Amino acid sequence: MYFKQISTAVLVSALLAGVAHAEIANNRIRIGVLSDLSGIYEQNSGNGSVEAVKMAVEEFGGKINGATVEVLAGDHQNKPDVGASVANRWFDVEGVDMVTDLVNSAVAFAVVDVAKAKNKTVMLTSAGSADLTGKACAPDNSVHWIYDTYQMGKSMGLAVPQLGKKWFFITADYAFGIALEGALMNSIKPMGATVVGSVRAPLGTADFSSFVLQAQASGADVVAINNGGDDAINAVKAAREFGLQAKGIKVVALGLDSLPAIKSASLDVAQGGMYVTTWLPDMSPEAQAFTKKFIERRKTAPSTFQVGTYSAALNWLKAVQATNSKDPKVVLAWMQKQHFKDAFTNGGTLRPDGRMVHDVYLVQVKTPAESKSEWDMLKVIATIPGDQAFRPMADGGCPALKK
Amino acid sequence: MKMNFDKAGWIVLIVALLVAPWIFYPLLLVKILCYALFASAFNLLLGTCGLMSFGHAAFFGTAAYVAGHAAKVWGLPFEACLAVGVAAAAAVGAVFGYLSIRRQGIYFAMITLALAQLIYFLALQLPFTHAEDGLTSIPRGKVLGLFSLDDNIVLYYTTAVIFLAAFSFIYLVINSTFGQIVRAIRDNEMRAVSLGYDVNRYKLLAFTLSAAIAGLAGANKAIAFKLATLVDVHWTTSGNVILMTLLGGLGTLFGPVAGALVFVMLENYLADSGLPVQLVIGAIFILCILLFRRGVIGEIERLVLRRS
Repeated sequence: MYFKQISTAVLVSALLAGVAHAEIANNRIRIGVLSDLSGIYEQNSGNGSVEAVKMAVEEFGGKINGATVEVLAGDHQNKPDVGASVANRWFDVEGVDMVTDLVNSAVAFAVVDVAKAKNKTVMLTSAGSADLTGKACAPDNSVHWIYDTYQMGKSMGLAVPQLGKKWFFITADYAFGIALEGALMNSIKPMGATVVGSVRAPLGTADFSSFVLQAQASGADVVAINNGGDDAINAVKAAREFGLQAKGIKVVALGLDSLPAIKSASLDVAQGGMYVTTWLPDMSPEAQAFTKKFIERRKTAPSTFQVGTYSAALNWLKAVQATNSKDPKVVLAWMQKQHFKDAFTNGGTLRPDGRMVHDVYLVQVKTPAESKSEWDMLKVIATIPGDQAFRPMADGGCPALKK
Repeated sequence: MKMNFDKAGWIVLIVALLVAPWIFYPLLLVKILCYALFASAFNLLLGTCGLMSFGHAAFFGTAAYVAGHAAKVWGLPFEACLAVGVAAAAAVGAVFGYLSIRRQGIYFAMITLALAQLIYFLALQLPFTHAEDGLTSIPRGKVLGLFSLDDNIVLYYTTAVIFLAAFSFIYLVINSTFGQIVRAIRDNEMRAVSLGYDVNRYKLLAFTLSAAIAGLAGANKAIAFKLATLVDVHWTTSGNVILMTLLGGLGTLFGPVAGALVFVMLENYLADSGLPVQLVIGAIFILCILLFRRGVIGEIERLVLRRS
């Protein structure tokens, strides 16, 4: 099989050598969506991300400058070594040019490493660690599109006036959660907030009642639930069952930040919860149109990650089209000159360190009475400009930029 | 007949090792070889010694982290990284073995699991492991200071040589006097004691050997894939190595190799097939247990030996 691929490649390049003008290599563009297709992150990215990338490809009619665009989907099973093996095979054997999604930062670090060695592009969308544009940055090969842990914390700090001064944390006991808690504490303290307590809950906790009771007993006026996926749903349910909001305590669910997640928790449970999001369906006509199209295909509204993955793939394809190249440096250099305007962002820009900077929003989940239709679930409390929300490039410490 | 079967097995193995990288993707083969060695080390303990460890990921993962750290932070050459990885795994193995061999059966398994979980939580909290992010960007370095391992073919043949050396070592151990005594202990511990053998010493040595070889596999994997993560020390990895061994054939020489081959191929090729990976592997495992309990190689061996 490996041999066959090589011989095909040799044959194709021999044919191409006969043609005078430059073409996209192999006359084929391959995008690999490497995600969690069967585990806890599936709902927020997973198969929805795969569909979103396909939608981006369809907008070009499946072809760019004569080259066919193909989409591969891979399940990294939340194991970095599976992610790295699949990425290696995709780049070396299957001829994949760009890998996207990469929910789970550990997998993202591993795959960025592989892409750097093989000079391919990674459009990081669902991965969260701010180190991906910081000390582990790869500005010539990777772009971080949607969010990061620094931005999540910082935006929440900017929302302290709307929320409250005494905070209690229920944090997932893994690097992402702890990093986010650290960033959050650093960003709310200068705004005059104090932390009255915090607990660490292991990944996969089903019963959050003891954590919620501790939060209630602490006398906090804001309880920040700092985890993701199913854990976030379980924690918010517990907070609801113990009537935290009814007692005037604001619940901030940092992980319950997608429409499907709120829907599966139900408005009854999630109502009143506040969070910072990078996207919501009502922010632009493009966003509304995309949401409608996505619902037709998937029978559910897209999550922020899925819209973001669509947008990342769309803009990468635009760059390939404009530059007629798949070379990461050429493509990313082109992207750095653009103002992105699509279903995900109104005028985002790409920085040299690989960070895509765009506005973020503090939103509140509507009550069942306020909600007019099935997916009408959010109202904007405040808009936070991108340059305030994201970490300044100089503070990231990206080693590749210092050279 | 048994000797002939093993001889045929060796020939198939060596020929396959030589030609495989021209047919399959070399990096995938490297992964298979690492897990094959890991499963063989596990089989040395369970198949030969009858000790069912549920914590082998601790040795695999410890060596992966230590070798990775040695390569990335201390800048040691490739061979030295493997050596410190193996040493670390052997040290952990000796301590775990000392504590666990006093009990048998399910108690033994539970003690090894509990101790392995300690290692997992250490890996989660110690700064040098980078917790959930994992130890990444480990440099592969050069083999013998000459050939860069960044070339996948060089990496493959280096791994194949390491694998073959360690695998031959396991073969020699199983067929040595030591191996015979260990098997005697497995079959009837009381009798071995009455013959005057210090049973615990033999068990401890077998346990430590198994841990060291598992460590070699882990160290090799960390450097080949340039990463060591929590998955390497997680209990699911301990579970997977049991699965590989049973799938291939418990107590057979080549069984764990075949089991690792099937398992890693499935995990890798199912990843972009659209099928739920864990579900398919689980179903195959159930079928295997129901239909051929001796495992793939065990059943083939039985058929061949019966025919002749």
